[in-house]
Parts: sequence; C-alpha cells; structure tokens
Amino acid sequence: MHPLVRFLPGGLLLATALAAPPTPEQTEFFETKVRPLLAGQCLDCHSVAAGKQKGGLLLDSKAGWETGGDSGPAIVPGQAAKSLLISAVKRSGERVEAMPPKKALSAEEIALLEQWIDMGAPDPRPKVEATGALVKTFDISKRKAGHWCWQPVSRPVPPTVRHADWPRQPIDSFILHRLESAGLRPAPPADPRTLTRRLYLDVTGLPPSPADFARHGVDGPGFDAAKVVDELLASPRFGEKWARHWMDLVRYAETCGHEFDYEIPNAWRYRDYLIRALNLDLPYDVFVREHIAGDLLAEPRRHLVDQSNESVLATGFWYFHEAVHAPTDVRLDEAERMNNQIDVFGKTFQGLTIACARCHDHKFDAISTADYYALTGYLRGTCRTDSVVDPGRQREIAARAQLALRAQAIPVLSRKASPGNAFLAAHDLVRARIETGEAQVQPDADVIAKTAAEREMDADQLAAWCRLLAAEPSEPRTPAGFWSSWVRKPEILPGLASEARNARQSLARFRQETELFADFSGSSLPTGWTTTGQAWQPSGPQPGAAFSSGHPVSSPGMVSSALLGEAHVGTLRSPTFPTPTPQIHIRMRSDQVLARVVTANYHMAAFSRLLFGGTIRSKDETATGDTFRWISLEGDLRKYVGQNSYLEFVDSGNGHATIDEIRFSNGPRPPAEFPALLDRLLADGGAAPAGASDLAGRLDALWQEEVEGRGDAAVLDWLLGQELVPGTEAKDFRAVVAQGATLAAKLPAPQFALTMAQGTPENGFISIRGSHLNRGAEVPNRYLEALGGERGTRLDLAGQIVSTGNPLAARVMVNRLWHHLFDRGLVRTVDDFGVLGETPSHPELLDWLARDFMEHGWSVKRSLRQMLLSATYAQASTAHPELDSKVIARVDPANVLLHRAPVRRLTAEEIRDAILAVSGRLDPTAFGPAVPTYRSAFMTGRGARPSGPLDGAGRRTVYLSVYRNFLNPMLLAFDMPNPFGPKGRRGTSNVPAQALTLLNDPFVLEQAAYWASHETSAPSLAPGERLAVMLERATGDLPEARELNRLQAFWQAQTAACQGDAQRAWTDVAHLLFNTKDFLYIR
Amino acid sequence: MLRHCALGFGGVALQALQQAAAGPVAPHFPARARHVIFLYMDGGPSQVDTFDYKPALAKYDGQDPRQVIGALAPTQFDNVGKLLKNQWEFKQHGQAGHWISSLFPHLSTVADELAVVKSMTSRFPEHTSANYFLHTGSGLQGRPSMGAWAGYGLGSENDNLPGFIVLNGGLIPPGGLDCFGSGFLPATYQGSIFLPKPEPIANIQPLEPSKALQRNKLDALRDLDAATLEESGHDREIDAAIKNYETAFRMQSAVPELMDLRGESEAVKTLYGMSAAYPNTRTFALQCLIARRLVERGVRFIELTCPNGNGDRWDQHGNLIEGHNKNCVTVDQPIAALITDLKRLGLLETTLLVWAGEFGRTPFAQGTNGRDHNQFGFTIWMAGGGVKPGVSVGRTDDFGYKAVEDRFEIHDLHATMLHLLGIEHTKSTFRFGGRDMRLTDVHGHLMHQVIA
Repeated sequence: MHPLVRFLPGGLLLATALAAPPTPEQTEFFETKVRPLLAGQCLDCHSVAAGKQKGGLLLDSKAGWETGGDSGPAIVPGQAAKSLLISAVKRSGERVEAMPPKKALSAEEIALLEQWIDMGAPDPRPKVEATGALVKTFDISKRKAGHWCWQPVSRPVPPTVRHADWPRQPIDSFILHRLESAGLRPAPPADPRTLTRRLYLDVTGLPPSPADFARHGVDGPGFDAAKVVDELLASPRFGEKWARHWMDLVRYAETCGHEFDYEIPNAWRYRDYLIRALNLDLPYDVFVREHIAGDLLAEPRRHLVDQSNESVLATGFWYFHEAVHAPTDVRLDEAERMNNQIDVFGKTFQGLTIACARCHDHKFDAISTADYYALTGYLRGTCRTDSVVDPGRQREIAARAQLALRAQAIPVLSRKASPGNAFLAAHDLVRARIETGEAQVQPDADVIAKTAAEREMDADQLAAWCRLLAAEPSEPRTPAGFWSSWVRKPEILPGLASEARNARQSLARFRQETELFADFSGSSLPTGWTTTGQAWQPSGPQPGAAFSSGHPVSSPGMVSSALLGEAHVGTLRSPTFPTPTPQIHIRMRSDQVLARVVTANYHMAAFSRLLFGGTIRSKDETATGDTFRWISLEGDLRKYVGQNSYLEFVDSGNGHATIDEIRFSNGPRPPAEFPALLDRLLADGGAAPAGASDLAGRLDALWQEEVEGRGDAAVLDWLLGQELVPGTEAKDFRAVVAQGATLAAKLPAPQFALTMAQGTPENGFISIRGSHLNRGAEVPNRYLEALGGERGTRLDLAGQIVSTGNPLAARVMVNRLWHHLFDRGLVRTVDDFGVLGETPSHPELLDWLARDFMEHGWSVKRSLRQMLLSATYAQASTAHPELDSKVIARVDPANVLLHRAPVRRLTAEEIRDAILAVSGRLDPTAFGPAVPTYRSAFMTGRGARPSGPLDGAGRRTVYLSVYRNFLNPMLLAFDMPNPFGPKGRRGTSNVPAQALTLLNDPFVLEQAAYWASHETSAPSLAPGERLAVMLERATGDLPEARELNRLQAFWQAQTAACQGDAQRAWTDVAHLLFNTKDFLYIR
Repeated sequence: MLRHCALGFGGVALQALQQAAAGPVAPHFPARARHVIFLYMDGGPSQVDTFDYKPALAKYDGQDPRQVIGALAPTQFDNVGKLLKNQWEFKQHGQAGHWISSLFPHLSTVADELAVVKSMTSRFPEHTSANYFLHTGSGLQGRPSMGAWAGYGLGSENDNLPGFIVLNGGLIPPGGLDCFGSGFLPATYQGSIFLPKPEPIANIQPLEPSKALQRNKLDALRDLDAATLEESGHDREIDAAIKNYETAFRMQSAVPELMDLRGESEAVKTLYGMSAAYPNTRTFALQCLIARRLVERGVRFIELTCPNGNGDRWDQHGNLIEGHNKNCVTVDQPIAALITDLKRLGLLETTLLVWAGEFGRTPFAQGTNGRDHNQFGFTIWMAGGGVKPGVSVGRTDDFGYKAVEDRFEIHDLHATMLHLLGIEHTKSTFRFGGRDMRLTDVHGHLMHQVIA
C-alpha cells in the first residue's frame, strides 16, 4: 500500500490531501517522528533560531522548505523521490551536497522522511520570519556606495608642497606632499650610472653596455635623463619587455597543459601583436577594444607594413586557458573554461574578481551571480577559430577579383551549341566498330578527322567523345563509366534509368523522413551562417564559373570552398542549434576539408575519439571523390543531443568542399544516389531515354537550360570539365576560368592566427551554486549592474569598459604601469581593486594619473614617460642621509610613501636576457615562432616535445616557448608565473634554489664560458683592465680599487688552482660576476 | 600568486629547498603525525581485485551489468563489457580480518596496521582531472598540492632538504608536475622531484672540477657582495640573497648524503626488496627506503610515484591480470617492509602512510579483460600516525561499483590528513585572487572512523 493511503481517511482524494491542512493523525506523525528528527539533525544549520541558513535553506517551517534554498524547493510534497531533501540525505551526489555533512542518517531515519514527504509533507509549523544575519544582505547599490573603486575618477589638483623646487612632474607633488606630512624627505637623486641602468632595465629589460654609458655621458656634466628615456621608449626592445608584463595577465601559453600538453597553435602571433602594439603606443582604449571585440570592428586596424588585420589578433587572449582532452561532461568543461576566461577578463581590464560570483553573489563586492552569468552569454555566443592572416591583403584582393570574374564566365557560352551532335557522331563511329566486331573500338584518327570535316564539327571534340565511348568499360553508374558501358551494351539503359529514378525516390523519402537544416538556396549564406577567410562562398542562384581543378562550373544553391580555387582557406560555421538528433547528414563533394560538430564550444574533440568519435570527420574521412555523397556526423553525437552546438567546416589549404544540403536525422540514413549528371540524363522527364538520339537530345536540352541559368549545372560542369565542348565554343569560357585561377595561383602559403569569431548570440543562464546541472534563470548579455549594466553586443561591452565613465579601466592600467616601475602599485593588489584588495596608498595620485591617461589619448608611453622623468623615480635607493632610521622604521618601513627608490631583483626574464646581453650571445631577432624549451634530463612526462637549444638560440626570453607542462625551471626559480590565471604582481621569492641555479645550472656556466672567450678574444688588455671592463659590463659600475683587487686576487687564485689555465679562470670570473648582487639587483 | 611546480624536477626541488628559512610552525592542535608518506598508485587500482571482496561478482560473472546492476554512468572508454569477478583469491588476514587478495602476500602480514576505507569517491573519471583533484583538491591545473599545504601549515624540520619531496619511480602521472605544485602558495612549498640516482635533482652538483674552486668563488662573491650590501644601506632582500649562497652550499652535501645507502645493513636492504628478482620491485624498494631516510631527516611530506613498465601504471583497461600482477609485485614487499621498518624504528607512530589511486575501476569489464575508470566507490588505506589500526570503514554496493555506506570524498581524505598533522583544514587558508583558499575548498569532513 502507498504510505500516503494509509493515513488518509477513506475516500479522500490524493490531490485534496496534499492541499488540505494536516489531519490530526498527520500532525501527530509529524510531531512525534519528524519534528525531533529535523530538530536533531537539520535545524542547527537551517533555522532562524540557530541564525544559520546554509545553502540558503531554512527547514524550520513549511514556508522554509517550500521556498527552498539556492537549488530550489527542498521538498516536493507527495514525491519523496523528487525531493532534494531526500537526495541530500541519501548522499546521492546529485545536485545537492550530502547531508547532514558529518554523519549520514540511518536507513530508518531516511525512510521516515520519505514516508512523511510521500504523505504530502504535512507540516503545521508557522513561518518564521528571518532576522539578523539571515535577512538577505546583498545589495548592489549599497556595496557600490561603500567601496572606493566604484566611485568616479576624481579630478585632484596636485597639492602644494613645502619644497616646491623638488617636483619635476605633477606626480612628485603628490608624493612629496605625503612625505612631508609624514615628516620624511625624499632621497637625493641617484647617480647617472645607477639611474641609467635602472632606466634601461625598467624600460627595455636589458642592461646598458659600457658603450651606452659612454654615449649618454653618464660620467660627465652633459647627462640628460630625458634623452635616455626618449631613446628607450622608442626602442623596439621596449615592447619586448612590456609585452611580457601583459602576458602574465592573460596566462599566455603555447600548450594546453593537462595530460598530453597539446599545442595552442599560433599563440606567438598574439605575443607579436602585443610587442607591436606597445612599440607603436597603441592607445590603451583601442588595445582593450581589440582584446574584447577585435573581430567585430567595422574597420579593423591594419599591420603597419603588411596591412593584415591586426585588431583581430588581440582576441587570441581568450583562448590561452588550459584544456582537457577527455571531459565526460562538456558542459562542465565549458563552465570551467568560461570561469577562467571571465577571471582573466575581470582582473585584467577592471581589477575585479568577477569570477568569484560564479557560485553565489560576490561575498564582498558589488557583483551578483546574475552579473557573472550575463557575461557568460557573451562567451557562449562566440567561436574559437583560426583566422587567416593575409599579408598584403593578397587573399582578400584575389577573392574580390575572382568573385567579379565568376559572373562573366557562363554568359560567354552559346546556348545554341549542340554537344549532342558530337556525341551522336562519335557514337555512330564507335558503335559501327563494335557491331563489326573490331578488336579496337577506338576509331582511327584520320577517320575522326574526316568525319569532323564532313559534319563541320570540331575534330578535337569528336575525338574526345570517341575516347570516352571507346574507353575500357567501368562502373556504369559513374559519369566516366556510363558511356563506355552503355555503348557496348545498349540494353542496360532501361535498367539504369529505373535505378536512377528509384534513387531519386529514395532520396525524396529520406528528405521526408528527416529535417532540413540548411540547403543554401539563397544568393547569400543562410541567416546565422558565418565564415572566416575567403574560401567559403555561396554559389548563388545560377550556375557560375569555379576556379578549382576538375569542376569548372558550380551548381547553384550550395556553399563551397571550391569556387575560388584550392589556394584559398577559411572556415564555415553554422548558427548554433540545440543538437536535435543523433545524426547529421551532409550532402557534399569534398577533399581535405574537416567537418565537425562543436558542442558547448569544446574544441579538443579531435584528440578524443573515445568520447567524440563520429562528431568529427577528418580531412581524409570527408574525401568523397569526384561526386557528391552524404557524410554523416553521428556516433558519440548522441551524447550531445539537446546541447548547443554548431557545425564547422575547415578548409586549411589544398582542399575544397562543396556543400549542398544538411539534414537532421533520428535514424533514417541517406540513400546511395546517382551522380548528378546521370540523374539528369536518365531520370529527368516522363520516360527513360530510349537510345543515343534521346541522350543527345537531353544533352542539348540540358545544355541550353543551364547556359540560360536554370538547372543545377551538372551537364555544363561535366562537359566543360571533360573538354567535350568544342574549343571555339569553350575558348572564351576557359580564358575566364584560367584568369580566375591565375589570380589565386600566386597566393603564399596560408597563415593562421587563433582568434575569436562571433557566433549566434546566446544568453547566459545562472547555474545555481555554480553547478551547471542546476540551471536557473536566463540573463541577457550585459555588463555589471554596478557599472551600468547596459545590454549590448561584445563590442558594446568593450565600449563600456573603456568609456571615460568607467571608474576602473584607467585606474587599473596606470596602477600596473606604476607597479612595474616602483615595484609596488599605488593599489598593491594590482588585480583586485575590490574589498579584499588593498586600498590605494595615494588615492589622489591614482585618480590624477587615471584622468591624465584618459585625457591624453590613453597613451601608455606618455604615462610612463611622466613617471620615468619624475623626481620620485630618480631618487637614490638609499634614504636621505639626514633622515633618522628610527623615523623611517616608524612611519614608512615598507617604503610605501617612496622616501627612496625601491631596490628590486631582476625578473626571471631580465636575468636570462642580461646574461645573454653581457656574454655577447644575445640574438636581437624579433618576432616569429617561439624557440622550443630546452628540456633537461629531469623534465619528462607525457606530451614532452623535442628539446630546444640550451641557450634558447640566444633569443630574448619573450621569444622562448611556454609549454605548460614543461615550463623553464630557471625562469620559474626566479618567479615567472605559471600560466593559469591573471598575475599582475609576481611573487618575489628569495630562496637558496636561486643561488643553486646561478651556481650550477649548465646554461649559466655555458654563458660564462661564452663571455670569457668573447672577452679574451678582444684586443689584449692587462688582466686588471679586462676585469674592470667585465665588471662594468655586468653591473654597470666603474670598479673601485678594492673590488678590482679582490677580483684580481680571485682570478690569480683560480688560475693557479687550474694549473695556469687562464681561460678557465676567466670563465670563473664571468660566472662569479653573474652571481654578484650588483648584477642581480637594480638600485 | 601562481607559482609553478612544473619546473623541471630540478627546478622544483631547488625552489623548495628554501623551506629552511620557514622553520617549523606551531600546529593548530597537537599533531598525531609529523610526516606523511603518500603511496600514489597512479592509474587507479581495481578495488574489487585487491581489498573490496564482492562474492556477488562471481555469481553474476559474465552477465550484462545493465541487467544486474541497473543503469550505469558513462565511462571514459564507453566500452562496457560483462560483469567480471575478482581475478584473484581473497582471504581474511590478521586480527582485523581484512579481506586482502592474493595480490598482496607481504602486505597481508601487516594487515593489522591498516585502516582500510572502502567507500572513497572522486569527482572525475579521467586521469588528469582526477590526479589534480587527489593531489590538490581541485580538478583544474595549477593549484597547490597537499604536500605544499602541509609545508605551508607546518614549515620544515630540516634546513637543508625540501619539505615536500616526490620520489619519482619513473612515471610522472598524467597532469605532469602540476600534481606536485605549490600553485598560489609560495614557491618554496612545491614538491621537489627526486630521481632514484646519485644526482637526484638538477643543479645540486657543482660543475667545478673541485670543491676548492667553488669555495674560492663563493669567498670572492661574499666579499664583493659585502660591499654591495654596505652601499645598499643593508637592504634586507640583498642580505637574504647573500645568505642563500651559504645555505645552497650546504645543500650540495645534504642531498648526496641522503642518497648514500652505504650505512644501511644488507638485512634492511633485503627486507625492502632491493635484491628482488623483478627490477621494478628493486626500484620501488629504493624509493621506500629513501622515504624512510627522509622521515628520519624530518621531511614533512613524501610522495612515491610508480615505476615504469608495469603496463601503463595501474590503468588496466585491458590485460588486467598481467598489469595488476606486475604492479603488485612492484609495491607489495617494499611497502610491507616500510611499515615494518618504520615500526621497528619507532617512527610509524609519527608517520602517516596513505595508499591511494586517483579512482578505482569498474566491476564490469572494459572489453573482455580490462576494467574502466570508476570514481563512484574505491578503496584506499591508511596506516601509522594517528590512524586507528585494523579498522575497515565504508562499504560499496554488492558489486563494488558505488559507495553506499560512509561515502567519503577526496576532500574528506585531505581534511583528515591535515587533521592528523595538527592542522584544522578550515583554518589553513591562503588569500589568493580575492578569496581565502583552502586545500579542501569549501568542503571536507573528518573521517572520524579512521582516526585513533
């Protein structure tokens, strides 16, 4: 008996019972069994009385569990099996966490709860009004009002200072004002050598050479810091240094990590983009716009030299996330991926921890869960794609000219031409020889020539038909085999015609049983279909010329990458659809083109046939040969039914595909079909062709029809492709086709960049408590409510970020610049301006810099120049000698007020680059694919790539590979971050591992030897002179006598210990200098 | 801060050697264990062939699991075969009466030391995410490993060795060195990967032909740096960097001394299996013996990874019998010896041993002679410091497929491990990216049943 029934007075209907107030029996059951259980096991964390509402759930009244917690109602009265409460106590792991957390209920207790719920969950307890901490406190406007970072950027005026002669820049007034208020005074200016070395390393990441010092006159009266600054900011080395700072933010990497460390292709193009953008001082607002929506700009910015699309490259940053190759749940994978993308987006551009609002409204900041999921909508509506890099816009120009030509080709053909005549004449010749039993059915050349002359037709055309008919017979159901088979056995014609008609019927039936997704019948691509690159073009409503080999005429109503020739490349994408069926069938003719379903934007399926078999057809799998066939996406596709997907066709060169139609199928499979030519010849019209003259008539009729722009062009394409049209007739057509093909013939090898493309716009959905299985309300695409919350496109979103009304974009960026020059941001937590971040040390200065930045074209170099030329920056790194160290210890122990310049260790990249620069090994080549990571014997594991050279080919560190699973140990030892999330402020560890690296690492030793040989091969110097040169090269200092004496003593001792091997001793000197703190630190 | 572990091993190791400076830290409450040896069974051992005896499997052997068990969750390889009975004979062992299969003849002799947990679960059926999860409490890459958290919470007891050492038997697990990383914790806490050879880590071996040549260099360096320090107004960073060179110099001796086994008796070496017939047994024996030496030297967290060549780790999607035989022969004797030896030296009571894979395997076959990944219920065991010896906790269903009683998750294991080390897992936090991060994230409950 159903438990409910037992408690019901006879005859009462179930529905009534559920709505009715509890009966006395039910109340007693609740009071004696359920209430004690709830009180003992649940209410400590789920009641107003206890002041706790874990998971948003109250269980102290019916209203509590009816409203439910974050995951919705806890109890479905009458249905224990559907109640989350039961799911939780049974610890099923579905949607809700196991409860009670510490110890499971007994089986009896669980049964009791089930019984109670099944009887309708009678609960006589009155509603308890929430009080105190349980009253929902998340209020965006209150949060916003309560924290500085949301407030508009103010217009501070530089404060007046007592020592008015000290400031060189407005910056200095702010700094000095604070110093004076604290009873401090600035340090004296650093000496020109120290300042020059600091400037070189801060601006370019490379140390100055002795020649640089000399050129700038650091030891004389003519030293001009402004000249040094301007020269350095204009140096191509500037971008190489500052790009790396940005790469820390966007977790730049060239592989995906995880099990096999698969490649992130062409990542380096993004790195090069950064370097170029920084070197040309691209306004920061443009820079940000390009990052967020560079693919959507109506007029993208062009590469200065080769005119290729520069803006779109910036969008690559979205895709440097880690990636797994075998997720059993792609939507979970998508949720994790978007979380990382939003984390990078939020911290990098806005200094906000937006990603923290994934599971709940932000605990501290004015960011709601709805805000978070509103941003996921933007990402859901995008596609990761390989953009075509088009230097010189050659592809674009060629494609435009080719498209114009296409329209001209068909009209040159004469509708009066009669292919049937030549066919009939050839048939007569060949047939006669067959009937006379000639062993050789091919007519002699002179016979062909004579016949052609007699009948006034083109001899070449006649000969071509003769060859076709006389050829060795092959499969009659192919355009080539049909003619030779039929001419020998005319009796097969009715049978073939009937097969062709049947095939048509089967196809018609298949079409009835399946759902059409796209048939490309319009003159442009169907709504929502998009392309990247030039390859994919709609064939249009009429036959047209095509410039790839084999098929000179395109059929109407298709989309094709064959029209402009094989050299063009690109991607074709469908709009996004909830995968409706477990099979998708595509009628296409293809070679070397990839076809796939992309579900939940998951792009690694190619690496996991175990989970995604059948959802991808590789370039070889889509090869259909010369005819149209149905290619099926199926197999594991069944797992993704209902999930958002789009179709993608990728032509990455030397291939082509023409797509006719795409259908969704729940089971019916596409039939085999007749090649289009035979279909038209044999199945058209009321009756099957009776013989040669019927066929000739049909050829002529179809020719005329197609030349006039009707029909599917099967006959035109075949006749022109096989050169069965008289030379006189086809000459002009061929000339156009040849001209079209030539336009693409000289295109260089294709190049690609990883970028974002817009797909079908989608909205986000709240995932309750961050679980993608627990879907909540839909939210439209918009930016944070606290910052206006305007809806719009991704381009609009970018506009909101860099609008002058946005209080964060400029503040965050100038703070980053400051951080890198002063080793500490005005807001120390450079990636978090929220409540958990630190408050600004100099809020007015921050706002002054931000406003100045926005009002002067968001120029990074201008902003940097002001900082670099400030008196603050130019200070020595030791406090003013007249300052009492006790005062310093009390008011500014951490130098937050900048009473002196900071001392900082060189970054990982600066150490390696400086070693190369000093040793003379530095190769200044800029840009291009990265140098593979040197892999020591200790670096093993899955996905290991062949090792690169120990010295990284002498290239700057920014040009070395970043393989997630094989990061460079030396760089990591010196705090290069691992690329998993935004990292605007690196750690600065100070550990013995660094000493061991510089003492014993083979790279350092190799460079020491290189440097020593370099120095000793130079014009002969006395040992003391050479030591002085080396010391200056390494540290920027002119040696003092005691340093020189110590070095000389060391050199002599080592020479003696090495049995007079002076070269060895010079290497030891070089090695020693790489370890000195003067080399490793900037003062 | 997101510092990396996946340095090459050497890098990792060296980075962590600074632990010295951190020094021991007071725990939240008295520790039951001072060291952890994590015996990582890479690939996922089959619970129903080792510790989780299921007679029902023999009964339904060869039948369709969907008929017998009901609906099955998706498996990684999506190639569900028939139910497959335990392939080795089970017997009860010791006073505790643990069911242990014939795969572990040596371990069976110390059965009473083991606390067996038969109801562990994971959230991921795929190696990499499951490895990260087991090691870091997150399925994503780049989070701090449990050994890093232990070091962060407790500091080090040895100035010259890292606090978290991974003794690499030859296999780096899927997911790579990030299983042993320090993530956003300071780099000093990352796992140092030691190879079982005289130069176990990179850059520990001076490249100068003689010690004197390096000493000369260090002396000259000290003198030059002293002037720099003076000029910098005794800058603290520069001062610390100078001191690091002396520490580094000492480490160059400590590491070779660790690896030098000349002081170990032949009896001990034999006990561990260093003269065993199977080469991988000898490798793992060396790892176990070094692990004991690390415990003696105060290293906080020691992890052992599997030797290569046993049929793709414990990951027997096929050839279950051959693969599991080889894996068990590799680890059985050395682990039993490690327990015995630690006990003999009085170190077992302060050393927590944990034996675990990233998940278990399906009770039904993959194809015909393998088993697929199964995260819904599998067996781990613990022994030593603070663990209740001889208990058996939790239960899977009749087929060993899903945990049904005392279901635990990895977070619970982490909470318990930290607890035994004297760390309250909800209080050991690190502020990163605007959040107070924990090894157990927002989860984790103590496994009271195994705590003594």
